[in-house]
Amino acid sequence: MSKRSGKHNSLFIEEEEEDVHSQLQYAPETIEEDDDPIVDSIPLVLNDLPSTNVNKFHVIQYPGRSKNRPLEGTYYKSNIKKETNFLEVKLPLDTSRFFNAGKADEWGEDVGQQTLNGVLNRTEGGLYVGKIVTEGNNKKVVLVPVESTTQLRTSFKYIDDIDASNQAQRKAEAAENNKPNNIQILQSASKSGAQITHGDGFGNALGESLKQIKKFEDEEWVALRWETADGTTASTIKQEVFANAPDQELSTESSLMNYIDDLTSS
Amino acid sequence: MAPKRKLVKLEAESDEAFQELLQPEYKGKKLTDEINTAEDKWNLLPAFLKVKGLVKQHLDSFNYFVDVDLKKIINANELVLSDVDPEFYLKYLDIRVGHKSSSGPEVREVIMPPHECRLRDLTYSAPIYVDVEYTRGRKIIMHKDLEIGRMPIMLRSNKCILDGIDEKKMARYDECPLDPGGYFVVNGTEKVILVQEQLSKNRIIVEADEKKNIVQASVTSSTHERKSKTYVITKNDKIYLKHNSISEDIPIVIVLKAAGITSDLEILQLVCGADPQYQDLFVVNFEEAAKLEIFTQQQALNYVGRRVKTIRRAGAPKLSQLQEGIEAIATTIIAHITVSDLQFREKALYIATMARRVVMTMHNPKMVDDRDYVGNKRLELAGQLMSLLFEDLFKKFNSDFKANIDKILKKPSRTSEFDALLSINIHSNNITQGLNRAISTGNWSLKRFKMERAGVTHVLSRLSYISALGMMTRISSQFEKSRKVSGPRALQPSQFGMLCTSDTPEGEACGLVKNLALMTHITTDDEEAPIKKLCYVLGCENILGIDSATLHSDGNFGIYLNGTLIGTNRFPSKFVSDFRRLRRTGKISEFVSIYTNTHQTAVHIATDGGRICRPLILVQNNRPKVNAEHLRKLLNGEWAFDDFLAHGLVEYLDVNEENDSLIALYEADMEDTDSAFTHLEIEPFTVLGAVAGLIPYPHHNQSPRNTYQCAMGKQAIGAIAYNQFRRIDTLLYFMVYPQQPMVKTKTIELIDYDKLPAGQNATVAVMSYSGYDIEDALVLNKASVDRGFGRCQVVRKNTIQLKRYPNHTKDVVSGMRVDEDGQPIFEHQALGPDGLGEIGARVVNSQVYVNKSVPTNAGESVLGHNEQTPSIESHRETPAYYKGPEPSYVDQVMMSVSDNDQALIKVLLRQTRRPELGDKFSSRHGQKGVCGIIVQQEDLPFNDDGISPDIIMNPHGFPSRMTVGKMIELISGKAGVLNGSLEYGTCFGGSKLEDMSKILVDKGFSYSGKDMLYSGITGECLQAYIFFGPIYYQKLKHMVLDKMHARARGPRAVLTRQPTEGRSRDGGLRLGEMERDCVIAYGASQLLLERLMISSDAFEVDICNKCGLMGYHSWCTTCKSSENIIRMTIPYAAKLLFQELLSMNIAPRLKLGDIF
Repeated sequence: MSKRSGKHNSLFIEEEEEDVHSQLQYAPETIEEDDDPIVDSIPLVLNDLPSTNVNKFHVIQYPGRSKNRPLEGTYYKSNIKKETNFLEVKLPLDTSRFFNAGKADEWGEDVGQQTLNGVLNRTEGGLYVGKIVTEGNNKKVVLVPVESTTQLRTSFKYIDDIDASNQAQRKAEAAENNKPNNIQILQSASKSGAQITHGDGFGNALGESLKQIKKFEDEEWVALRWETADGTTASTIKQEVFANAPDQELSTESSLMNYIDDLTSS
Repeated sequence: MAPKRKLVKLEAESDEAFQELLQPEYKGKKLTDEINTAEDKWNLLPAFLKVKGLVKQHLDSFNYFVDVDLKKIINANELVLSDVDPEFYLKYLDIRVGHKSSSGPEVREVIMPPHECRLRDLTYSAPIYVDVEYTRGRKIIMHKDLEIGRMPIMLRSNKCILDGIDEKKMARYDECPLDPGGYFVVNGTEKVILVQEQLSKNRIIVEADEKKNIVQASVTSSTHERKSKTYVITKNDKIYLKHNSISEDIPIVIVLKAAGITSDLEILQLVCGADPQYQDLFVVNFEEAAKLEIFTQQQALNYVGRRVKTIRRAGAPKLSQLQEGIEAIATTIIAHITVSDLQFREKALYIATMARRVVMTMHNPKMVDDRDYVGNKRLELAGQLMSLLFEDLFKKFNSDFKANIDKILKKPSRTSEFDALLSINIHSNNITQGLNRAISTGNWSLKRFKMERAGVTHVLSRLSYISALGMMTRISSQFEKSRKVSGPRALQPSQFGMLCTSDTPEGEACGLVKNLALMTHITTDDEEAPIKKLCYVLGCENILGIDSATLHSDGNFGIYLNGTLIGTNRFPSKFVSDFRRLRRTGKISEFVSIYTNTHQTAVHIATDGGRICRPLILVQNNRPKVNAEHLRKLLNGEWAFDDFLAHGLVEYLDVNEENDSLIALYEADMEDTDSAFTHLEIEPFTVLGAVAGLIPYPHHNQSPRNTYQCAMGKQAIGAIAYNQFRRIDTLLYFMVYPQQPMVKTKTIELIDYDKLPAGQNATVAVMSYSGYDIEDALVLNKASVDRGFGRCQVVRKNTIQLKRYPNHTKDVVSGMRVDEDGQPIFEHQALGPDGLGEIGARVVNSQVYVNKSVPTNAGESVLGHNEQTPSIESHRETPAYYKGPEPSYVDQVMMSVSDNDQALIKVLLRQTRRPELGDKFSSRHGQKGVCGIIVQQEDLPFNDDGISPDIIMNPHGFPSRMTVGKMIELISGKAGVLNGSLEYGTCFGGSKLEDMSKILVDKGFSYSGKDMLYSGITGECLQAYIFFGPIYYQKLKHMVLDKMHARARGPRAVLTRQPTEGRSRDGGLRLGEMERDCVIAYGASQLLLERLMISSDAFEVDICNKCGLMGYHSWCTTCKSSENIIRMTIPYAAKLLFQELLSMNIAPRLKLGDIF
């Protein structure tokens, strides 16, 4: 699993360099160790974030951004729509290079920042943030479940906004021109009656995806606080998770077969 | 899985046939005999058939439908809501077929035993029960076991009473234990839903037309709701997406942008990866989007939305362009991938994958897929078709029900509280009738797919056991028969072991109709979700966590589950072998297939239904995993076939996975070789199907001969089933003394052809005799015929219904009439005092076998004057006359009541026929011939032992036909006769010719099978040694008695007054166009006149020579005179033509002149 960079705020925590192993407890057992001897055994520890119902790990990827330009230090604006699992991050735009100022003027002022957004995909378990913690001679691998992953992509909302305003203008003009010969069409009663019975006015006839869109549009953005990787919140969380946590040591209770049975039963 | 296996084992123990395996001696093998793995591994085959049966595909599919699919349909349509009352709802909780909630699934609540349904013209069905929850007023009510209709039950499925019962119980139900089941009994007729072959759904198929420079990737999306096809095509080297509901082709870049991939870089990465050649090919596509100034997702969605063809249902709101676009991308295009949470990524990746496949094919045209490749085909079985039909009917049922409750709820004042159940029962007939009608007519009309398919079901052919069996394994293709393409008809290498290589009809359906091979299984749908979960655990990385740049990076293999990309993996071989290990240990279904496709750098996993697969023995280090110990357990009855699967010794491979394996035909092939074999064939003869398996030594025959035999094997008269004499079918043929063949094959034993054979072992002399044997005609021995050779019985059903009329009158059967001496009149000689034919009575032409009478006042109204006179019941005789050149005998008379309460009489008439000149016979090698002459035994040649042949066959039949197998059959048969043994002619095996010759020599015969014969006429020995020995001969259903026809005068058609057509209407013999040409060329004008007019439709007309039109009674109606009337003879058809022309304002005028 490759990550371009990680970052956090109260919800999102910087992720260390370690790889995220999927299902560590299973993988080693099936590999037939012929020329790969065991060098060291490290106990696995499963920790939860403090107050789990509020704090969760999310892996955020920036596929459009080069590894060489990680997001650092600064605070960014970010919003979330929790119901529809939609995350938005606004980054300032580097206007010094490769920037067409003329075009930006044409498009308006909003171009000053880049909007990244993406849908949070639930991991449904099986994805963990892990860190090898060394305490003197004792090593342990701390695992914390990841709630969801997302890939943030640039949205060009400012272009859409311009389109929308242009269209509105055109419509207004057209409406002005057409006003005199605009004929009011009266809806027949039976039809409107049928419409009303559809309940929410939009009707059951809307497709599943359009309902989703509507739900998304109806939901308000919730602003998120941005924390940097070396900020205090982050370090306390780090501390709590990797050092101070109760350290529930993981041991396999179910046999491999039971585990597989559990997996494969529908 | 474990309890199921135990069950199978128990079943095996209880089964009589399997008991044989436990006997100290089985098929010539003793328990103590040494087990030779290489030769005895074939014992897996009977074990497979024991578990799977010959028509397991039908049964599995139906079982899956009633047990699993029905529940899914119920869940998908679980709620019925009312438009009027928002409080009202009805929810389906569960559905069961054939048993109530109070009783377990072992209860089979079928209407009556299947054989009774056949006899009484009923449908063999079981009730469909649902559990519902609904509101009545304020209360929520649960109602269990509500019957919503009746489901026709497939015989021997797990809802059938015949499932899992032993032979004795079968006999009690009048059923044949060898009957494979897998068909329905609807209105008394046995109906098979033929297996349909289709291109696989939800998979990308890439095709190219190199001449037109077009590459297209298409995918047929199929969900419960809709079926649609999406194309990604090239046009002038640019790539577009095409879909039926979008009015014009959309540039691929715009589609991808609409699906949320707005960055051009990402599009390039997803489609081309890092390959510069692909990038060069693809880059032109960006121009179009840029030219159209489409940069954002919203712009792209608007662009798509503007081009959507909207079909709005009534009441649906009008959608904005953007909404239309979203709807199109989310649900219309590639409909089988659902978009949830606004996450378009999966769909975008699917479209990108399609585009990538197109680009790859543009770069290298060899990357196209083969439509005809069996791995790209799916077989649609009875269960799937029934499920489509049921869902349609169930939806209709629900909408009718909804309309009904809406109507009631709309009424403002209802006296009593409304109970929805009262109105649900009204519609229950719709489901029952809908299912019945579809199966009995074969018309599958599905409203939601706007699909009309005709000819889905066929009447099960009961000509012989093998014809019924052949029908159950038949696969019909969706291709049009008239199209002149060779591809779909050709023999595909990939059908090895899956579809029979020989069994296909000749003529228009050649190669389109196929048959399953002996050891095949057709999969049913498996759950995707657990497999997906498993993939992630096995190291597949979720596609949503992968960025576009790494997706196609080197060494990254895409994991595709049922054609959809779900993730990637860098170690495909480990992934695949881990996956296979889990499958072999039984952790996941044995029918899930996985294979690596290196060209596409992809691992494909398939769990969908309709794939053909077959079991193979696993090989490790070039040693088969099945060893003598395992086979001993099998022979001892400790193990069943499933144990071999569970222990990972045998596994199922589908066609695609076969391509990923190296399969050895024989164990010997694996010795001294560097190749690492993965699998070993169980038996090579399983490349053939059940019907082709009858042929002895087919590997020595020219291949078309085997194909011909496959067609003829189904026409052979023989035993039909153990219950054949209890059956009353429209037409049945029985062979009187059927024999099992002297030269058997393993297939024959496996499919029990030896228990229900269709033929006799005839002693054949291959020589010329009498000249009546030209063109493959056969010479029959009269003494053999007298002894019963080729004798058969033909029984024909005659149905008479005694109707009831609305005015309370009904048809009756009246007794026979007698003459003055008290003897029955000639017509009534076959009748008994009850007016029905007496069993055993002889019925000749124009005699009566049921003396039915119809009330004379049947048509009178019910309401009228019924009080005055309960009018004296007067009846008019409408007897059923027997018609036929030969007399018949009354075999059975059955009287019963059909489901509409009308009396039903079935009279079965029997004829016993001995072979006669012109009857058709055939050996098992596609060598058919008609009987040319029947010769007294005294005149036939005989050998030293005094044996004279039953059949003499002309040797000219051999050179061009090259049926060497027939010659070997003769030698093996002869050796078997001398040795007192049954020999085997199994394909790629069987008794060796050398051994057979050895036996012949030991018994004092020539090694070559030739004998010295003496002429029966002169007593001298013949000039040449004659090839002489037993060959198994089949009598085919084509008999002279059914075909002979002559007519002097007879019925004429009403309209044209020409003689009727066809034997059944006592028609004339047509002198057709080509015959007419000959007569013209010969100059026989008077013959022409006689044939075409005088013997046909001569008609005298009056023609007015003045106006040229026809008059009548020597009077011209046009000229109002009789002055110029000339009477002449013309064909009635000509007169008719003139009048028809007149009727459309064309006046044909005849100008008559003198010839002399």
